[in-house]
Amino acid sequence: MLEFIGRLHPAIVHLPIGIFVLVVLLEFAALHPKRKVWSSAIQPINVIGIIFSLLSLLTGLLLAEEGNNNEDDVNIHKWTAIATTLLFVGYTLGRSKIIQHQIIHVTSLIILSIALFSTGHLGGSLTHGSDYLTISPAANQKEVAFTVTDINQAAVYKDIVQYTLDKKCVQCHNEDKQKGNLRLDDSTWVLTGGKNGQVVNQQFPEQSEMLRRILLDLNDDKHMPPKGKDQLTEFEQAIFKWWIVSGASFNKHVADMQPDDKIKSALNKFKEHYSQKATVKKREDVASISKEDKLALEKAGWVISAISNDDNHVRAVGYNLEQPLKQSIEKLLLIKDQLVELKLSSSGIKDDDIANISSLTKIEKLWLDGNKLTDQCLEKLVTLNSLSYLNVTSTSISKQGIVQLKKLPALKNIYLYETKLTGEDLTQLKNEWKGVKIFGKDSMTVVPSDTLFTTPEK
Amino acid sequence: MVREKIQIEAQHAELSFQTRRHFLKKCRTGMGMMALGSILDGCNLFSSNNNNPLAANPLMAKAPHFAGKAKSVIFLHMAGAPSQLEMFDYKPELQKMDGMDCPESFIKGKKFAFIRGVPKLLGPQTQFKQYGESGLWLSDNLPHFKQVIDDVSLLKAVNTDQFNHAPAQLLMHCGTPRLGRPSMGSWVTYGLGTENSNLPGFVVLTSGGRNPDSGKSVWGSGFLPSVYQGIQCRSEGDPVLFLKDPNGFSRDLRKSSIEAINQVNELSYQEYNDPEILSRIAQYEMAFKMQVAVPDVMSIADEPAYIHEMYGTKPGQESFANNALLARKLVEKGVRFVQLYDWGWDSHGTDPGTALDMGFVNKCMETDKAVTALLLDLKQRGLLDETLVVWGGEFGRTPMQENRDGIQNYHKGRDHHSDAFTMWMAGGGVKGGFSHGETDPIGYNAIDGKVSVYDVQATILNQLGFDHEQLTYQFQGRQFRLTDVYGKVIEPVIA
Repeated sequence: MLEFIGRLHPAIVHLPIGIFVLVVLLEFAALHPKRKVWSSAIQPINVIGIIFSLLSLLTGLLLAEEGNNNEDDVNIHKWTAIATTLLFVGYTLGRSKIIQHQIIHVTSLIILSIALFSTGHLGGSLTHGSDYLTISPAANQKEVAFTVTDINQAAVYKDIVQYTLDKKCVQCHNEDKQKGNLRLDDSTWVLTGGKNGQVVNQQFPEQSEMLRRILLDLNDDKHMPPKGKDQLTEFEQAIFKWWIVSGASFNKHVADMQPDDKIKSALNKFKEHYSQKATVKKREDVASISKEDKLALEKAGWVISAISNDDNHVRAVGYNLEQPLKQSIEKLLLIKDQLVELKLSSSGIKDDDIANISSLTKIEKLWLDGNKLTDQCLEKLVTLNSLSYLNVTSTSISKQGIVQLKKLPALKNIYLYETKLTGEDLTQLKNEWKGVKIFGKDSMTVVPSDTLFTTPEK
Repeated sequence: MVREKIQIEAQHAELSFQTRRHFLKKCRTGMGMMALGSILDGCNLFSSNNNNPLAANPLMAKAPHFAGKAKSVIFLHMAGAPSQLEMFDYKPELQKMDGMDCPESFIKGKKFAFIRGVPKLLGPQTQFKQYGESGLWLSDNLPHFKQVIDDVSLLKAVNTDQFNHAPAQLLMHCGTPRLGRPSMGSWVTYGLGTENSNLPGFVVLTSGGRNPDSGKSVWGSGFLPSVYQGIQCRSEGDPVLFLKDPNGFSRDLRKSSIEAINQVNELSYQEYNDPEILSRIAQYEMAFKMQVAVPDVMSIADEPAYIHEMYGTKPGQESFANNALLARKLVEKGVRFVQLYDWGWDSHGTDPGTALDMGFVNKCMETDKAVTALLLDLKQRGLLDETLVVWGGEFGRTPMQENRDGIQNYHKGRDHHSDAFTMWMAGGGVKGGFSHGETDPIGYNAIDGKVSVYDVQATILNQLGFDHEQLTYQFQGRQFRLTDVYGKVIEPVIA
């Protein structure tokens, strides 16, 4: 019951703040002779404010008993709150005298404001963390790439367990914010434990509180991380269990602990998961394309869509372009800063039509398949330094044309099915052009089992 | 029945335009909006392109929540539920227990579609071997599939909660075993629009002689505007009926008559604001464009001979192979979602056609080559990167031989099984040569990597760039989504 009353503190606390702000504002307003009459409202408001202020103090003290936060910070907040309340009590009692001297009056109002603001701010820092105002939420989540290349050489605690803790637990268990009096930002703190004692029990590892909490049902109040926060994945749970049950050692390496196949697969998943996330290349932010430009392009038959809700780069698809094609394609220059994917599959274009394509240097993926194109068009592509995917299947492109593209630094995949390149050309290209995947015809072996089993007559 | 209800509802809606209350209501908001409009005029906030839905095409290409790997989906649904135990899920233990009574622990408290009493276990009715660099097991029923095994991710422990065809198919495609919700293809076209305005965004092709048990609702648009429903193309003869203009009817005349009809429709939209009128307008326009685009894309006769040999296609006949080739052609032309249904996989063993060693083998042979060819063809054309191919039935089949009404069926067959079955995904940013999920030694229950139908749906949407929890539609006072309140993306299969 007491705990419940304590939990009301964050709600009640806003009442005295609001009321006292009102008092200060009214006082200042009433300084003007025209609004002198307002002054009479101030004393009753002050009394109401003090009542709620005392209520806040009471609930606050009860909440502090729970001890979920750093004790020093709680103490400062507690004493500033008490001081602020006393200041207002004093002010209310002595108001009739204070207002007779304008300088004393104004000074005391300023002191009251400062006290009020500090108390509020200290309280806010306790619930939201002291860096809440200064650090953007994105920066808050440290995106550290998992850099260990050989998972067997990884230090189990330092590279894997602490890495996961940093990502998913430290947000609430750090130097500034210590839910349950627990810090998880370093091995010493992990060993120290929290309000309920040890979290890893090296003597009886199976009984470790940390293990119990992460394996509890998600809907259980005691489950960690709490519902709604970023959860441990299946493989992370498996790794934590393995680390704790095998003694929660802080200095062993993966190879020393001889993981079985299941753990090995979990560890590999872990590595894959985090090293991959870090390598996703982010494009530079651009402004979204203007409505007029989009409309102009749509009139020319283009289908334009943004890459995603938070990426303004666009994909342009031209299955049904208006004639003359050359003009329709020229219109793309309007969006050359945003255009990263261009699909001109079976659009009927010829070599001259795409003369302007060389200025569209942001293109990463380009489809020219199913058109009557020759090597001539490939000359236009040598300036596309971001191009990583090129599809020229079903065109009249030959080897002479395609080798011009060897200079392109970002090229990764080229599709050359149904072109003038022979099987020999393809093997040659594959051999001399390392780092680029070349796709030709995928021949299928048709096996003779295709004669259907005939069902006997009934 | 339904039609009658809709008519009554429409009548009521129309009547409501004529009441005094409605007039007053309209005055109040109408005057307010007029005033607001004149105040905000010139701010460009309410510019005509913005809030005039007539100007906005409902199938306009839209951005997903995040950059998706896949742009299109081909869903190969083997209607009737193929036996995972004769295709992908190799169970040597079950072979050893062939003919033994099913342990009671498996059947206690369970309900089956046809099995009664204590059935006998039935070993795999074919041989299995390991293939590819991944060393995944495949049965002899799939002689071609080994060529693409390193491109697919098997999901060996999919779980559903329906054991009858129609509700299970609805659950698979619409996220609920009951009628009335939009199908996956509708959700996807609603979310992403289409990249080729001359073709429908969502095309359905069927083979195997009949439609799936759940009827056309599995490609219906439910409460989404009907412009997002699947367009079923005929698998034999003309893909779409009445595509050709009648004699003496020129294309210009057709164009002006459709324009006139649409003008009338626009007027009634302005009066009634019924979004279905917008669908109708869009469909007239689509039909006009399809007259040119469809004959070209839906004809497989012009494909080279080696493609026909690869797929096993015979132009002019209704077959899964033809549909598979069409699926490739449609995706190549920017169609967002191609749904194939192939009926005939309900291997109960009540007759030779449903026997695991006869009819079932035929079904495997009919489809294996075409499926393999489809994946290889997509790959060589560079389409597999952006196309997610999904294969599966609505549930699996029991490790026990079916004993309909307690008497062993004459042929080798299996009953419907919802606890664990195999599906696979390929392309569209999914791992190749990978297997997720394990079943117990007789293939009855999932013991590891169990995924639900909702998880499969969430994963498909994820590959297209959607957070399945955010792709929603407001209906009857709440937000609906494909995965209802369930679903978790199957992270392990994502490349």
